[in-house]
Amino acid sequence: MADAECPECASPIAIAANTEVGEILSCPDCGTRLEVRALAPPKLEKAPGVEEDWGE
Amino acid sequence: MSRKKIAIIGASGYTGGELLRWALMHPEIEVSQITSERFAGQAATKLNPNLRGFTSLSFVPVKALSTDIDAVFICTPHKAAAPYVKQFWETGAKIIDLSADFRIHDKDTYAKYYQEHPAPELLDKSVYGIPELHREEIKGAKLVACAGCLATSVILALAPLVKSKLIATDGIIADAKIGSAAAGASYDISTHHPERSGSVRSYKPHGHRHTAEIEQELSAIAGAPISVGLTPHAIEMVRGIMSTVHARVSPELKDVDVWKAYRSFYAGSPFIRLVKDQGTLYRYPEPKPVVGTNFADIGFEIDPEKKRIILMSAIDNLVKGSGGQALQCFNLMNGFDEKMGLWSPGFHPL
Repeated sequence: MADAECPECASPIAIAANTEVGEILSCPDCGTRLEVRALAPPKLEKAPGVEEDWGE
Repeated sequence: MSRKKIAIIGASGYTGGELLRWALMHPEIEVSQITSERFAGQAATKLNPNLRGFTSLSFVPVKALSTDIDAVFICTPHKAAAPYVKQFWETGAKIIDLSADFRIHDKDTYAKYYQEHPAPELLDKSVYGIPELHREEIKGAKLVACAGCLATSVILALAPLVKSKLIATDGIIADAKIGSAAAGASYDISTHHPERSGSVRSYKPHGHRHTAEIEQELSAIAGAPISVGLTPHAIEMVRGIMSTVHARVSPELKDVDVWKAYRSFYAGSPFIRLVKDQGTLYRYPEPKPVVGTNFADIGFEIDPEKKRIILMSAIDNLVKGSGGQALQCFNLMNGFDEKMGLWSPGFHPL
């Protein structure tokens, strides 16, 4: 278990030992969806949102 | 050790009834007497049907009140409370005054918003009753003046940002929406159902009495005078306050700065919940999730284009805004965990 920090609100986020790069986590405080970009040391970035494709 | 024996003066109002509900469930409290002149002799459950099965207490007139108690809660209107505070000041009882009589430390400011103070010699003896601001002082206090409900919601939203100097201290505007229970259990034409139902009424666009305590407390934190405009609205709701507060900020201010300011100020404050959650329908504070609880939910959003921050603060006016906060203060005054008897979630859905 390692700790990372939410890039949006600075909340500490526990990274479980079996976490893999590319996983999507949610910040427990601000709810932002975060992508695990690296594990040693852990690095989180805001996950890309689902793009709307409803046509114009 | 025996439980603390308490009395509630003016227990027939909504504030007194809510306080009684919590006190009856508190593991370290024995409610010995509750007073009401108008309902003397009647069972408490006549006015508080939710307490059926939980108490056999009846209201007594205040002249029958015993002073052999550990603490007295005063739930009368302002001016009516001061004589009781004077009476119990001479006893060993701790005093928790839910009226406005001892919130304002300056007698001239009190006179401006209320009337001439009936006991100015005690004004500097009271501690303002928001534990998140005055926890250590409350622990040693004999007299706590519980904060006003609107003031509580506005102060809790602003205090950390004032302390961290993240907002401009002029031009702060608080727009509050409040439920009908805040008007108390007495009634007049304004509370008559056809008049009140469905209304969205701005009843005091400026000069509301709670402005005085908001400015007093925030100015003390800032170390300089702070001006806050407060405009409350009565809306179609029984319980709850939703305050939206606007303040000017630097365009460079980031979310993370605000998060850190709130987390730092409210570290060790169990009843403050920061709510700014992008992953839910309930993204910001609103009254329903706090109704029936002692929580204050606080959230924010920065508008960099307009160089302002919008703060949202939701409480139950009868709990965190009065009876619950009073018990939180009582817990601190008696060396109990401040959550004791108050740690309860609300309802969902409601």
